[in-house]
Amino acid sequence: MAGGLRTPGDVIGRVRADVERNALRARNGIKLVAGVGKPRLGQTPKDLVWSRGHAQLWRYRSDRVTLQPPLLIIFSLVSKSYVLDLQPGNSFVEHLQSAGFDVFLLDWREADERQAGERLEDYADGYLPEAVAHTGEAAGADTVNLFGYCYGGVLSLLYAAHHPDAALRSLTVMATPVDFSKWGLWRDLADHELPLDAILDEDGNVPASTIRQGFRLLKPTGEIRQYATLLDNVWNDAYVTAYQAMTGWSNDHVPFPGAAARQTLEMLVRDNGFVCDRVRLGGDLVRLSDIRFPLLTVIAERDHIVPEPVAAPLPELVGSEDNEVLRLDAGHVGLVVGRTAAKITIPRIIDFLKVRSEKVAR
Amino acid sequence: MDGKPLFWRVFDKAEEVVAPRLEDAVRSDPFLAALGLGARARARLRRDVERRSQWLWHLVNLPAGSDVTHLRRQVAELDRELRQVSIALEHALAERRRDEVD
Repeated sequence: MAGGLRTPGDVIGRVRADVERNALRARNGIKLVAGVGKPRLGQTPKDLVWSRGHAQLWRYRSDRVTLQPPLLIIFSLVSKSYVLDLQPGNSFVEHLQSAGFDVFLLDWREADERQAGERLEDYADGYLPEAVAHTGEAAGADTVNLFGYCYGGVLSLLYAAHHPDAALRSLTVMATPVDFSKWGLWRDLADHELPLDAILDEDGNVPASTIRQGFRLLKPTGEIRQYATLLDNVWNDAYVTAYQAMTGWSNDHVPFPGAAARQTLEMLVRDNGFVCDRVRLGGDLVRLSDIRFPLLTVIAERDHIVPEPVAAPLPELVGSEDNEVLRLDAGHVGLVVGRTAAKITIPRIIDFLKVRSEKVAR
Repeated sequence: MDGKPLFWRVFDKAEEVVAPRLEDAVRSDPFLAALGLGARARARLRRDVERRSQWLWHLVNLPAGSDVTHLRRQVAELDRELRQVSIALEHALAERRRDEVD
């Protein structure tokens, strides 16, 4: 008999398994279509420490803090931060807490007309220095380990380069673009004089829907593959839950403040400001070579949003002597979510930070 | 045979052929030019609709959506200035406290 079904018992077992799978397919299919049973995301308890404008500084509650200085995560301006704390057991924040870190997050409320005029200076010279000061004050520490993810990494680099005397113990940037000349579609759009004024919404920001469409264009068949994989695994409860969490996040963008978007497009992307030393903040020339803090650059080799060649030049551009690179066989989000993150990325990041931290008496 | 079901073998083959072409297409000059044109056309259409609705609302002495947007922007500007003043004030106070301690 085909497929190794030798006895009637095998046949019955196979039929039973197929029937069960089909029942699960039907149930999960209905759940997906109806949009019910969505997993709860970002559940680690946290408290608001400070806020100004659309910046919010959160401190994750923990009674397991054994390391100082605190770790301040700077999140991106175009997506939502719950990806760092997706679900219990699959949470970047949870791993950091388990290692003994006092974890803070600088997050951004959805930008509205009040943020339309905010420039990169408002972030690098305003929100970030204040967040670092408030983090240190709340944790009773003189310095902070700074951690920037994606565009949060860009903001962290601008801050660290423009404030070489900042109270930072170390700087870690993950999936952070620096060489924009190799940034594929985004660079092409900048070269084609993308009409930013025509894209801005009535608040003066780049709408979330435009950002979502832009990301989809980076991998035009990506969504079809996602649906095909879902179809294949729709019987699997764990897969469906993870799919709902991840797909929900990857479609959950936020508006990008208009003035910062214009500077990003013109100064960082079109002029390739980081590589060509053409970044100016408040009239000052800002050079990555002025960064002297211990630096860890985390690069995802299968990242289609910030491809490896875009992120890789950073270690050569900074002035840090303590300068490490971590290359991983992962995608943009796989750095913080999933099994590779739990087994490889996060432990390596923790190792780097532990060396640059000290134990505190409990 | 790599042990994959037929569905996935067909899908992978099709994607192998289609994906690079689509990626090239979205980075081609005509596509990028069309994107720019489309954005400009949409913005123009939005402005036209706004102008017409503004005329209509103003006819019955009511504020139009664009008036509200204008007001919101002015409030936002005020909010920004207020924030800058409060930051300057906080810094001045912190400096004064430091001087007092010294």
